[in-house]
Amino acid sequence: MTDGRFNVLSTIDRQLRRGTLPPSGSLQHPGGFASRQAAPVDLVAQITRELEALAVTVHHEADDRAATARVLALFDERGASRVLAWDPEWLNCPGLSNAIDAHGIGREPCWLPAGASERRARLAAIDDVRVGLTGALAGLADTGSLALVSGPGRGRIASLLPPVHVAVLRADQIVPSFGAFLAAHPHVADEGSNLVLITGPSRTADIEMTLTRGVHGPGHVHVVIIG
Amino acid sequence: MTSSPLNFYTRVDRALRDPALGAAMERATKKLVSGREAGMAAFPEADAVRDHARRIRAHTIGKLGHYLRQFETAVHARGGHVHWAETAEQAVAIVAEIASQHGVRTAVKSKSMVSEEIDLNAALARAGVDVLETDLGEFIVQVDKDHPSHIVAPIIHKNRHDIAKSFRGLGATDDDVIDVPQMTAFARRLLRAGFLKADMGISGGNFGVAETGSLCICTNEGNGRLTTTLPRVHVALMGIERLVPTLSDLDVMLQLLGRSATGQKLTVYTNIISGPRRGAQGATGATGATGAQGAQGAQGAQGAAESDGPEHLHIVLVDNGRSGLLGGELAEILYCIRCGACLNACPVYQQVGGHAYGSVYPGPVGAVLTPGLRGLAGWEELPQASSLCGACREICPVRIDIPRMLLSLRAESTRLRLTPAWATFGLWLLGRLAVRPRAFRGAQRLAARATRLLARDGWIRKLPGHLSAWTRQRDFPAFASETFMQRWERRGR
Repeated sequence: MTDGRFNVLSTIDRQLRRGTLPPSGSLQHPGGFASRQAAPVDLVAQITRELEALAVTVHHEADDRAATARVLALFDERGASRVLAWDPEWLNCPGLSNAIDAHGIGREPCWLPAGASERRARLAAIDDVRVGLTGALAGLADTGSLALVSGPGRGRIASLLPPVHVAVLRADQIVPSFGAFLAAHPHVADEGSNLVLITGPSRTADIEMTLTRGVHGPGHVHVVIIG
Repeated sequence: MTSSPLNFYTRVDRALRDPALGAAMERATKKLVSGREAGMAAFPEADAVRDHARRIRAHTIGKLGHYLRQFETAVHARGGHVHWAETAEQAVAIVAEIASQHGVRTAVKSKSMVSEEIDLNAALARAGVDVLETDLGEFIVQVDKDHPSHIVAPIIHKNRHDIAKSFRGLGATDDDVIDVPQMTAFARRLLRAGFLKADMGISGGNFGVAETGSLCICTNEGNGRLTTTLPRVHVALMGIERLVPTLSDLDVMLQLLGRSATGQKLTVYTNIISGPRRGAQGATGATGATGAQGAQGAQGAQGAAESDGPEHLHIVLVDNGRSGLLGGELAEILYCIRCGACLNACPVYQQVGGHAYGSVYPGPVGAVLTPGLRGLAGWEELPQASSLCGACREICPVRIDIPRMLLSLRAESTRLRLTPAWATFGLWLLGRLAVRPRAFRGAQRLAARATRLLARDGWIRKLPGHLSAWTRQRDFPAFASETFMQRWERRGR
């Protein structure tokens, strides 16, 4: 393996010394891209438009209490007896977890064991959970994306395994773009081993270019925006 | 990189005589091109972003050694492993070794062009590892023992009836194949079962971020996330050229990738992975929760451990001929971000489809990349499979000058005497005539008369003798009755 590393890197260094690249202007790093586009004033309206264009259902709720009622109603619509959920402090809605418990719906944590057989058993036990519930670190208005970072109590599988994903987002978490998100979270790669930008429900067009939703990930995404 | 046993022109003939393929190609490429057009039209800064992206790629490729070392250090710092494969053989051996170290029996795989290039599945099968392709298109390719024909839409060449037939072979009922959503649901159930029991996930990598040691994997279906989340071990295969310096640079690339490929602003899941699961070491997670009650115990015991994700991350950097392109005429092809737009835009690809190229990288990009990585001998026909119309250069998000490199490869095949003798003779003759105005005019008159005799409605379906090779795959236009020079003089200059 060491030989592979040595050989690859020495070939690269040798070849790069050998010649110049084809005409493409400067080889200097161009720096950051300076957009001339003015950021829209109403980020909530923009993200709503983008999410709806992606077939995501958006719910606007005035406060935590209304958001909690909305989430419970969504669970009931799906007949969910269990949900795969992030821990309370990450749901962007104080009191939501307690309300779910009080409503008689089981909250499954996103925990996966490391051992092979335990992991398989755990996955088999949660595969039939119908709804996943998460918060989000941010919403990206220009693409209609949710930015989720993994961490303790914030598993990836909540937004991945069940056929329905419900995400709770506060209006002040919406930023204009991924670029703005990176500016606000310059150390996002240190915050968790996984950052995912979710832009709509799972989809495929592999068969005859026919758009079909929910092939592997959730086919239905609900975003509850508070504020 | 598998070479089809048939020669290039036989494959092209076969493709052109397949009406179902023609219909499928037309439907798919039209849809992809119009999707891309709509996506770019709604992107006011497209041109500026493309220029910027090109400069990022040029910079990164020009300092590739530096960025690879930085990437390696950053991946190590996050607890991931980096492996270097000089050749396809080394790459598959590394993956087989990782599988054996972790006692892997079954693996799930998300889409990876590099894995096709190195023929990974066959090698893992020999090592006793079952690999399940999980991208819907690649799964169908695997079931049919076929090859993908497009780098983004692998089964662009198949219709639903072909696929329904394959699914019946897997136990699908009439209801399962009644329409595309039902077929997709059938595949979901089958593949989900594979995901739940797999020991290892194998992915590609759209981009590696040198600064943070992150890997970016873009999928629409979500199989890329399942592959890199559920199994204990994640192995990512990535060409050495796939790096960008920073997350901000990644942002620029992401603005172009989805739009160029399908017209989407972003792929549904843009998955950025920085190391394996944090805080859970080895088997300590074995005491983890099986229910809500156990969760508290798990949290207490695990402290700051991440809830899920792979315990081990291995990134395999694959060279396989890429480093040899640096500093040369073809280095620019390494800027490619694999969006597939040049395939969709190419009039040759639109007609013949991906299989005719005989390589895992079809279309204009493949016509440069394949001979670049494998050498011209055996692939010398690919650079000829172009009208040099420039549609590929026009549509490329990072403005790669593919026609320039196709010409350079054509010149190289002549130098290497790989060009057929009749073509070399024809060009020699043209060269002689072009510098003798009277002879040239005479030849023009002769050709105009002869072609008009053979043509119907201005097109010749079949040229005589050796020249018929040209008309096997395409019509030849009759010469105009008035030459350019005559017309020029008539219009009084």
